[in-house]
Amino acid sequence: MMASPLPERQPPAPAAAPEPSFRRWVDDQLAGVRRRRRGRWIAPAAVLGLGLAVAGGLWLLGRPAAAVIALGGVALLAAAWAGVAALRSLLTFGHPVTAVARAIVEEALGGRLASVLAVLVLIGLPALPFVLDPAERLAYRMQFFLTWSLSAAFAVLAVLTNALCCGTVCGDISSSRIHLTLTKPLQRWEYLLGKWIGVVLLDLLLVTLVGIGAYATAQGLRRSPASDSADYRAVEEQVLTARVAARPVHPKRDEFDTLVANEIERVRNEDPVLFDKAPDAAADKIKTRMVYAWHTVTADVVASYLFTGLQDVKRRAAVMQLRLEPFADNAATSEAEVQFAMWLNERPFPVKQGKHEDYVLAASRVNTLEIPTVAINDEGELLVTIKNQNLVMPGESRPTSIGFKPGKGLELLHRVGSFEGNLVRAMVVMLAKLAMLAAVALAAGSWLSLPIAMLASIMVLVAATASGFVADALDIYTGIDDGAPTLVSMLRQRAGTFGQFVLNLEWWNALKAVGAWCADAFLALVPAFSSYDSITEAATGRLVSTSETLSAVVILLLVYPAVLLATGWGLLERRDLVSTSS
Amino acid sequence: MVANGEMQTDDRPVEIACAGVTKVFRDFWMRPRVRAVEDVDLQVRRGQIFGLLGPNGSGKSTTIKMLLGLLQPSAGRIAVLGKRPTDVETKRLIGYLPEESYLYRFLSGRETLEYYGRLFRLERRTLGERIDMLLNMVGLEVVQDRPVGEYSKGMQRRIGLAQALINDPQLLILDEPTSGMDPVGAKQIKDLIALLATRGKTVLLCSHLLSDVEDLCDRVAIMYGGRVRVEGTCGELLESEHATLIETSEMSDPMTAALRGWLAERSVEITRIERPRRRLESLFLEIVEKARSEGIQTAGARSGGRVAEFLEQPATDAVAATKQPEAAGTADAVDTDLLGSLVASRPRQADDRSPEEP
Repeated sequence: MMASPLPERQPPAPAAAPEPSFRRWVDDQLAGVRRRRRGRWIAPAAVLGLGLAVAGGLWLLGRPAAAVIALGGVALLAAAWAGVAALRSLLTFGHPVTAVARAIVEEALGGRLASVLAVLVLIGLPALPFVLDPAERLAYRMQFFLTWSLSAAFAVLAVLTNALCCGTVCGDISSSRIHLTLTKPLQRWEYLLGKWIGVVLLDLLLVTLVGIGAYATAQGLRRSPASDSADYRAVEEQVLTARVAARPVHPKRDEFDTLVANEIERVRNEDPVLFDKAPDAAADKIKTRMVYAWHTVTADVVASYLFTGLQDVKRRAAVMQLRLEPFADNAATSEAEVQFAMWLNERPFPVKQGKHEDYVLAASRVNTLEIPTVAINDEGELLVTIKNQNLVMPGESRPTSIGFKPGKGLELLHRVGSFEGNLVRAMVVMLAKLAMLAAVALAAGSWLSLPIAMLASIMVLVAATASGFVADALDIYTGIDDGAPTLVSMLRQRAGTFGQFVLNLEWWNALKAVGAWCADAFLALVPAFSSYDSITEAATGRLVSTSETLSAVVILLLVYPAVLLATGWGLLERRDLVSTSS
Repeated sequence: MVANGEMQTDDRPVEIACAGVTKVFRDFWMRPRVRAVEDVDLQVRRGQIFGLLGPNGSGKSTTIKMLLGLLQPSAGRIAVLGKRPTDVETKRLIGYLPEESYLYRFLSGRETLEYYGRLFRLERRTLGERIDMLLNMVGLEVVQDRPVGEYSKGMQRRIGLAQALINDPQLLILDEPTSGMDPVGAKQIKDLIALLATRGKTVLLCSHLLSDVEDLCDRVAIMYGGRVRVEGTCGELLESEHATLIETSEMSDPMTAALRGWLAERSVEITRIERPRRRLESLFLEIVEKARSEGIQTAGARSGGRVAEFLEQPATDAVAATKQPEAAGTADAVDTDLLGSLVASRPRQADDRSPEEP
């Protein structure tokens, strides 16, 4: 053994007098911050300074709109910088899982894709209102801005989350970085959990910035010129608000129920064999037909619709909205208008200059009528009565009837909360969706190569976003309508159809049926994002309910990620992290 | 095959034990594709520097990755520090330097050490002190805030070595530790390995630089085709039974001729007489040392500083310092059944050094 020519040991330094522990702690923190931050502030400060200079220059050049965009972008970048600093500090302490989370945050910040996409979102948000046509109504522009900015931000963040999660795990495995991490006392599930937490925290930061940016921009847009006072009011009462929809009940509910029961009994007596084949479906069909009849205002009928439970509405707002989507029977849709007279709790409405005026509305389009909340009676009820005032069309002997599709065709929207709360809930739902996507991408990355993992997680995103459309498209493609009420009956139906194809030697159709079966099973496993359409709800001034938000948090942020990460862990645990011998 | 040598009893605990370890890589259809390691038996005891040698593709790295729990053996059993290689508490006591620098390019040198140190749940203050000492030791203090991606290969090896030592490991697994290092750095690493062994640390060294292995290792195993072809101490393996080397002070030619004649009379054949040469490494180090003493500046990594203080502690203290209170009990709880069965499967080998007396 060779002698060790190491430097001679120095005598130990005399022990320093112990400082107060708090002072030592502060010194430690400051020393750590100084070390970590060395040089880090230069680039962001330069960008912010440049942005401010550009904004000032544009203002001086007489381009206030461009200056506002630049200023908004700078403000969001400054907020992003502060957020990143907070995130780094948050992840500096604690469990090894947070160390992994910190590493992926640094990876995201160091990666060009993340920076480019984040800057795209943060600059794009304040710029979007300025590309809208100022001749459009302000309420429309506001809805357009909210819908497109939030949807685009979600799309960009979904792509970023997908790329980041697949890239980090696949990159760690393919570059063997994972060897160093997993030879430390870290379980493989802790590794995946750390990655997920890091990405979710980064998404939280970006979603927060998007929310702040969207809110600030909407406030700016709110102050821009509107078409008229009704337009301003529409912004306040129909967009920047949180409303719920009340659906009408029959004013003589007991009589109506009896009527329905009698009709069911009559049909059953007429053809008991046919009725008893599917009694529930037959009863539902009869009831639906009668509800449609109730929602149809013929020439000789005055129809009434009772909205209940409106006790608090008067206190919350001065007006509410009656949302109508009328269709005109026996008329060409493109030319049709409907004309009717309306009474609110048996009082004529609207009355102008002492005269009860009719409404003339476009058919097959959504029309919103402003209703004063003072019309609600003390019991919190509002009875809307509609009388058909359609003109007699040429070639007809009587006026065209007016119909409303039960459900969204006739509803009363009233305020229950603020836009701010609604936006926060919408952003929470957005974060929950991104968290689920992160878990999908991490699970895919733990056993697939990078391109396959990204493809798989994008497939899940598409399936979740457009599950209803994909299911319908599959039915059309395969020619199989799987309108079965339960999963078992659907499987039976599929199996029966497949058997028929095989017996008839229609192999191609049989193959398509199997494909549709697999696709249906895949769609059944993926949660439908359409159930959590918080962006549309926030943009149209509809309440993103607490139950919807909680459901998204529990299902998309907790349950699905837990299952997916457990699956990813199971796969990673059994995986050899070296593919060939060296 | 085991080299012949005097068999002695070595009571030091076995820290790595492999019995009949085989690794077969399979393709997508689970058909055997490569038989990387086959029926390998190994034992490494505490305080040993064990060299694992072999040409490329001989199965060294695969064996190491099985010891680290990154690969599952297809057959056979492995115990590392008395437990399965996948045991997390065992990993707390292991330092690993891979053959390539598998580091996060976007983290700075300091952040890299912070990241790996935090995975060991080191206390914040302890971690900060160790990072300072290690950065000083590997000569990267000045560039500690630069991203690792901007480091040269040698600098990356240095930071890789520092991360392997951050937990003051009881067992150090080094795969080509001097690869990409300049001779000064390589010498420092060799000195460090020797020092760690004197402190009772166990080192498993995998290298193609046979001179390094010969300088450092107590025992070596040479692999080829996935099998251990020979194993023993350097003395056992390298001693020539059919020749004797005598080194003298300088001799004149007549004296050499006289010696040759004297030996020939006694039927001893002289096969080689030459002046001894210095090793190139010592010449290189002498030149660098001279340049330094003249104050000549150089870019890049500085010469390493003193060995990190925490690495100079005796092994037992160091192990205790690394363990977390809740982990200490489990780390001590060696799986005696597993270890016993693996050790009992082969005889104990001789060794030429005790931990106390280097």
